Amino acid sequence: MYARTPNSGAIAAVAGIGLRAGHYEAVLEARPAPGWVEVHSENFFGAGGRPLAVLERVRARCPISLHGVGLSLGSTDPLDRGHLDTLAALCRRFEPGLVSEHLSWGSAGDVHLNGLLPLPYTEEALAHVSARIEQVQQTLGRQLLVENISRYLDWRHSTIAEGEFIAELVRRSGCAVLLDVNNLYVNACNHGQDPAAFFEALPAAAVAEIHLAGHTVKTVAGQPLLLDTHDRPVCPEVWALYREALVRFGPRPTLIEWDSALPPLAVLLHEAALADALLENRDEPALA
Amino acid sequence: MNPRLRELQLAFVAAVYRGDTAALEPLVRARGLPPAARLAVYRNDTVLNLSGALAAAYPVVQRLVGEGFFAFAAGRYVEAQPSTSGDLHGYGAGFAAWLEALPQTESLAYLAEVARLEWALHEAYFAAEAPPLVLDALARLPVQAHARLRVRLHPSARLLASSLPVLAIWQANQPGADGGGVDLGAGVERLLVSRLAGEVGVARLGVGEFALLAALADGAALARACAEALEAEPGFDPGPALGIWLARGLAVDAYFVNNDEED
Repeated sequence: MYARTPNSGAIAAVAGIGLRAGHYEAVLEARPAPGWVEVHSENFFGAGGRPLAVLERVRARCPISLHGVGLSLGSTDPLDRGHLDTLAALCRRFEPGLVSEHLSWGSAGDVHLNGLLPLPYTEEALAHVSARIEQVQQTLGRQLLVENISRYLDWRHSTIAEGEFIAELVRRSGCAVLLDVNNLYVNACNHGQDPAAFFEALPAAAVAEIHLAGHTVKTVAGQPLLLDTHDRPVCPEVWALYREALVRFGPRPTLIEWDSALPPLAVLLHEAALADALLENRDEPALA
Repeated sequence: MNPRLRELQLAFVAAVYRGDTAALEPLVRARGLPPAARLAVYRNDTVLNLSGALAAAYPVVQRLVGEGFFAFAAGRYVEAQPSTSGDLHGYGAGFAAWLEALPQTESLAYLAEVARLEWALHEAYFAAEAPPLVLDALARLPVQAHARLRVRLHPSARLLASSLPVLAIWQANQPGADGGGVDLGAGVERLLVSRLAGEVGVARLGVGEFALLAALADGAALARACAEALEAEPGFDPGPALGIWLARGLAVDAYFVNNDEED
């Protein structure tokens, strides 16, 4: 079934793009192929059909990363074995270079919100999530990357700063970090979180991937609230924060995420070229 | 007293689906924005996300009722039937039955039927792969064994019968089509949804053909399926229909049942 792939699947410190159904054909035709692509794991949970067939052809062209949105790492419901087994089967079949999930929860009492909900940063949550990450890593037989999310609320009883919380997850579970720079910027604006302190807290060696995306500024109750919408280009402030991240952590595989209001693929590839220029420490092509 | 993580999550899920977040508000830091407004972001997100999954699976229903009513109906459905999986692709299986029971759609008898067709197409898109039955193997069986043979249809196959011209409505409401020209009195439609040779498609079936395939899908032996087809359509010749559908790969396996009483 699975044709042998010409690439090992390992993802280098270059830019990749998020792949959504609207770009399936375009990505297969793009010359050259993108450096790598990242897909939402759950979009390939079906038993068969076009998505899996497309992913096989994409995988033959470039390395892929599986990015989960539904495992609900932080939920207090038991881990969904069926969900995890499907993810494990995808990993065996496609040999992704990276596998990631969000530092969030999404269900309780078997009812799902299918969103990325903020955890209170407490000792209880820390112990719970690190045990869950260990469980997932054991089943997958590989290291999991955990991503910092955009938050629209903070819990009053949180006692640990987000950066320290993630650093401690790394220490306890051996997981890696997917640093989403846009989410960090959204949280800086929404909650006054200090990006420098966040960077400082993270163990540099554990940062294995970086996400870049666009967000929307909405007015809620007369106040600006940044929403992590992935529907537009990366903003200048996030590019600036990305430069700082590269200084702190060094070059890392960097993803341009774009989920809704999909533009032509060329727009994503252009954003990826901007990231590549920064990764290679070149002048940005647009500014040259 | 700070809530345990479990209590917090159960309260949050209930509050978001109910749209009543008062009990959670004291737990949320305000910082320039009222807790109620912060929690409302998550409620809106959930409703929009799940409604979006419904709209993706039911584009023709959305076109038939308009975006405004669809958003209203989807929002009500989300409250009535919360998601039970981290994989959204299975969300909305019960939408047709739920729409049917909605008082506002009482005069739109075709709406639930169109929804059933759309869900069959949605399922067919994600169904498992299965290579076609190798016909040479069947040809080597003694002819008298054929009557007792049963077949397994492709995992994507869905048979639908409707008293309304559901496929005609669906076709008239594809992107670019003008939505008109459908005769609602056109009579019964019998359909086969499947994904054979990689493409999801719908075929209109004749009376006998539908009865034949429906019986086979139910696991009837070939002789019984042919008898049911003849009963449904006197004079129907099952041979050509069987030949066409086997050649297209609709059957993926053939088997006998031990101690089969049926001859």
